[in-house]
Formats: sequence, C-alpha cells, structure tokens
Amino acid sequence: MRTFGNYDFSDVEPIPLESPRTEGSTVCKILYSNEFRELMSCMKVLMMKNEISERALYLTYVIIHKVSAHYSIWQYRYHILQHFVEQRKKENNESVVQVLQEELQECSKMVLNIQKNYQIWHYRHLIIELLIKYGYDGDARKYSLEKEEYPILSIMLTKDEKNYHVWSYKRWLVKRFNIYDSPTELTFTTNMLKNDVRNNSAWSFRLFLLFGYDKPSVDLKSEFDFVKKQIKRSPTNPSSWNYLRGICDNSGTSLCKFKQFISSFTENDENISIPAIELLAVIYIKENDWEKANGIYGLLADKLDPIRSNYWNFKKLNLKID
Amino acid sequence: MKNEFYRKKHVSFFKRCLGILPEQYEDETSNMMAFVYFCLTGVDLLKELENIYTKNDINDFRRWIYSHAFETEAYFGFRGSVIYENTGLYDPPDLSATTFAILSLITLGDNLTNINRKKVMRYVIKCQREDGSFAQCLDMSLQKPFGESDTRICMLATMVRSLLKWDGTKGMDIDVNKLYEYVNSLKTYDGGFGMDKFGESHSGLTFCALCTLYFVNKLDSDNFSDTVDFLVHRQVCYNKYRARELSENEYADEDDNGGFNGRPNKYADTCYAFWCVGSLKLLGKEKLVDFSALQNFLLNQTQNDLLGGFTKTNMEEDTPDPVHSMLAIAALSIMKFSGLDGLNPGFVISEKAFNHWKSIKFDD
Repeated sequence: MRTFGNYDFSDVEPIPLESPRTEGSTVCKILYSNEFRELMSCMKVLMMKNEISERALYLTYVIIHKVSAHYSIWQYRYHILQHFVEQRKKENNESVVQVLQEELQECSKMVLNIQKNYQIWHYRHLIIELLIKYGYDGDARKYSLEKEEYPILSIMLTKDEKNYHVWSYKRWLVKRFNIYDSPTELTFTTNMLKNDVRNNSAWSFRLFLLFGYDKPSVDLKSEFDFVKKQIKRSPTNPSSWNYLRGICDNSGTSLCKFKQFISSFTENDENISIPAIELLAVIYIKENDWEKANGIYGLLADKLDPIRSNYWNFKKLNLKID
Repeated sequence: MKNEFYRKKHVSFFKRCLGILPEQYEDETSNMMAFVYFCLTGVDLLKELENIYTKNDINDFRRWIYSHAFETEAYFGFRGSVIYENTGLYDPPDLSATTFAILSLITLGDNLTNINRKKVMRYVIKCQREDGSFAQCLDMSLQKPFGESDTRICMLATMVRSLLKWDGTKGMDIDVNKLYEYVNSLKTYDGGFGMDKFGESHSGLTFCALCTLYFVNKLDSDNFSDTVDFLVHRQVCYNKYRARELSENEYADEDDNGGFNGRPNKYADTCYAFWCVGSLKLLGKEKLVDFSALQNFLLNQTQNDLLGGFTKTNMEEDTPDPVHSMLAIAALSIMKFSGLDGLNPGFVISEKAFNHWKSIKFDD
C-alpha cells in the first residue's frame, strides 16, 4: 500500500520521473532521492488526470515544500480549490468560506517555510479573490484583514522587517481594500520606524500610503515635522533624507523651504551629514548658485565621499555645461 | 588583500554545476534552464567554453536544451524542467526558461533554426496583461496569464522578442506603448524602480526595467539622472563621515565597502554589483562608480578560494552558486578585468556570443 500523509495512493500507477528525451544525458542531472521520485511521479499521474480531490490537494502541499518555484504546482492547487468551491456553491453548501479560510491558513503555514518565494503571494491574492467572490458574494468589506492578514504579516515582518515580498504584498492589500487612509497602516509605519529609522521599506510604504492614490489629503505640516524629527534622530541615515525629498516632489513643495534645516547638518565637520550636503547642492542648483554647488561636489569628491568621486566630478562637469 | 582571481577554480566550479548534481539540488529542479544559462555564460566569459568541452559535449548541451522545448499548434517555448512533462494543462512553457534556453543556444553557437519564432511570439503576446505587464506563463485551461507581474518578466518578454529579431511588422506584436507606461509607472521617488507602483526601489528590478526600455528602444539615457543617482549610491562606503551609520545601523558592515547593495541600508551582495554596474552600462555611465573598490570587494570578500565561484555575501556560511558566480564575473567583465571576454549588457552574454547572434537570420 502506498500512502502519503493520511491518504492512500495505491491505485496510482507511478510513471518514471525522467523524460525519455533527456535519457542518458548528464547535463545538470540531479540525483533525486527515492522519496522525491515517489512523490513527484505520483503527483504527475494525478496532474495528468487533473484529479480534483483532497489527496491531490494534500500532495500539492507536500510538493510545494520540495519545489516551490514551479508555476505548475500552484496552478494545480488553485484549480483544485476553485473546483471545490464551485461545487459547494452549486450545492448551496455553506462551507465555502470555511474552505477558503482554511486555505489562507495553509498559505500562512507555507509562507513561513518558504519566505522568499515569488509565487506564494500571488497565489494568496487569488485565494482572497475566490473568497470574496464565492464566500462573500463580491462584498470585499466582509473580508477581515484583522483576522486573516495582520497576524501573518506581523509574524513575517518580525522575522525579516525588510522582506521585499511582504511589503509589496501589503501594498497590494491597501490598494485592493482601499485602506490608504487607515490609521492602522500609518501608525504601523510610524512604529516600524520607531524600531528602526533606517528601514527603507517602511519609509517607501509610508510614501505609498500618503501619495499612492488619486486624491491625497495629506497633513503636510505634520508629515514634514515627522520626517524632520526622524532626521534629527540619525542625521546620516540616507532613507529619511530621501523621504524628505520624496514628499517634497510628490506634494509640489519646494525643497528650498528646508534650506536652513538642511544647512544645519552641513556646517560642523564633526557632525556632517553626507545626505544633507548632497541635498544642499540640489538647492544651490535650484537657486542657480553654480559656484556653491560646484564647491559641494568638490568636497564630496575629494573628502567626504571619494568612492563616488567619478560621479561627483561628473556632476561638477555637468554644472559647467548647464 | 590578495586580489587574486581563481580562474581555474571558477571554470571547475561551473563545470561541476553543469554535471551530475546531488539531491540537495532537488528544490532547484524547475530552475535548471537558468542554471545551465548561468554556468555556460560564466564559462564563456572566462573564454574557456571551447577549451573544456568537445564538439560532442556542445551538441549534448544543445540536445538537452531542445529536449525542454514545448510545441503545440499555436505555441513554442521552453520549460525550466521536464519534471512536469506530459501533464497536459500543467506543463506550460515559461518566459524565464524560454529566454535562458535561447541565450544558452546562442552561446553554444546554435542558429536557432529549430525554434518557431512566430509561435514563440504568439505565446509571449498571450502572456501580456491588460496593464501592459507580463506573466511568466499561461494558465493553459483558461489561456490567460498566470502568476505575478513585475519588471523581471517584462525584461524576459522583450528580451525574447529582441533575440528573435521580431519587429512587429508581421502584424502580431506585444503592446509596446502599454508596456512602456507600465514600466514608467514603477519608478519611485529616489530614482530606482520597484515591484509595484509607489514601491521600494530595488537595484535588480531597476536593471530589469532599464533593460526592458532598452529592448523597446525607449532608453534615453538623458532622462535617467535620478536613476543614475540611485544606482551610484548603492556602492557601499562606511568611512569616518558615516561613523554613526556603522555603529547604529544593524545592516552596516565595513567589509561591505566597495560592494553594492540592492536597497538603501541593506548589506552588500555580489549580484547587485552586476545589477547596478550593468544598469549603468546600459545608460553609458558605468565609469561613474569605483571599479577598484568593487573589484576589491568581489575578489576578497565573496570569491570562494576553495570551491571556486562567488557567494552571495561575505558571511561565512554562504556557499557559491551559479547565479552569483556568473554575475560577479559579468560585473568584472564590464570593468574590463583581464582575461575575460567582453559582455553584452542587454542580453548578458559574451561579446563573442553576441556577434554570433548578430549573424543569425530567420527565414520566416
């Protein structure tokens, strides 16, 4: 009897894993373990038949942990779920919501095991859409972010506070559920930055919340106060300076308004901030004060930031061309 | 600082990876076409392809690649692995494998006569979404794009189109304007490109965005001064004027000096040396970075003197892999490091392979 987990696969006639087309070739030939061979060859048979069953669903879960990067396995798992849900809907079975909520729990388990995978987050989008469509009759407001999303996102960002996939997924959620204005989200970035003011992902996310949609209603004064406070906390951190420039650009505020503030981080050689002095050069250029901008680029090239001396000298040269 | 380049060990490393692999590589099964591309290109940049492989070996590689071909009435493409062969709906080609297969075939001197480029393009066109972006593959039952979208996949789609010298004059093409709009919408406030609108700039995704624009002839280097600024700032330098960063930033490491990171306030990583310097090369601005500091980082921090190849970071537990090894060598090649072939920065193949590609003609 052949079993995987609690499921019986005795009726499945395994087929060889290797293609006859690559037989005899030693090019990148992986010496698969017996366990892998058995699982994969069984999986292939089920896929060939497009079997829609609990045991097939279980097997995809096991395979995803073995080889998560292949799209086929995600497609198959999605098709199985989709069939389950459509079937239950036809039968007026009320377990649709439960089935999909369980799948989201499974997703969370999977993502904890395979943290840097491209496919899983997109798959999660698909499951959420299924739940809204079949479980909530298209009403996205019924989907509970507090219950389904925030716990797993919090765990993920505690494990790696700069996980690119997770932040990108968070942006998708905000957009999908139109919660740009949510105080929860803005407070979340404030707290992330409180923990680490150098978390560039958190800064980017904050700008997305404030300017990522059509009608921003931003309290600019408090935002500028916020970023100035963060800059004072660690004046040499490039992320907060980039953010200052970012909100200026996005709100149509002139950077020159901050000249005095920026200058205060450029005067004392002991406490000089390179990102500040770079911004000061940008202001001088805006003010057509080429000579002072030239001086800054010279200082950066020769003293403060010689690793980028080619770049600063190039900027100098371009000043003269202008 | 030894600054030694372990040329022979790198050749052996790639050669080992192109042979029989232990079961630890099981989780890489579906990436084998990428694996082959990175290794062959690595060997080729080291100018050793013809020295270590016989004509028969080269033919074996070509046969192996073509054994991953997928063809139906409508479509042609390649799979990353034959592991799902004959599973019908679940055995679609994908744009990564298709790109890596064609690039590898060019490096091997193949004339691509066995590739039905019209069918490839039909598949690529089908993978484009309404917003101009691309998916890696189709859901074959719905004939609809499946999977995430980002600039990586835009790059693959446009690279395949360029590799096949497709110009749309046959009345069938991707929607270049929509693609252009999509890619432009991903530019962020600090000049790089991210994965989604108002996302976080990322050097790798920036390379893919610039590459996409390059392939559709929309890369006007005068329009990217903010992107250049983002890219040159990725070269790590913790000097005395950044002393507070070194003490307060958890991700700051003096040993990273000269290397490149993918995002502000992250560790340096071998592959970003290529994503940044390659991006700048596409813009004709590679000389704005400090070559000798970068070489120092690659040769003394992430080069593996025992196994050959390069590791991702300078952490002790890291082991070399084909992606980081090849990208390190590609970055060195852009910097004209001696003994390496030149690099075509768009296709990321050797000059020699690129010249062969130029000679390829398609009959249809």
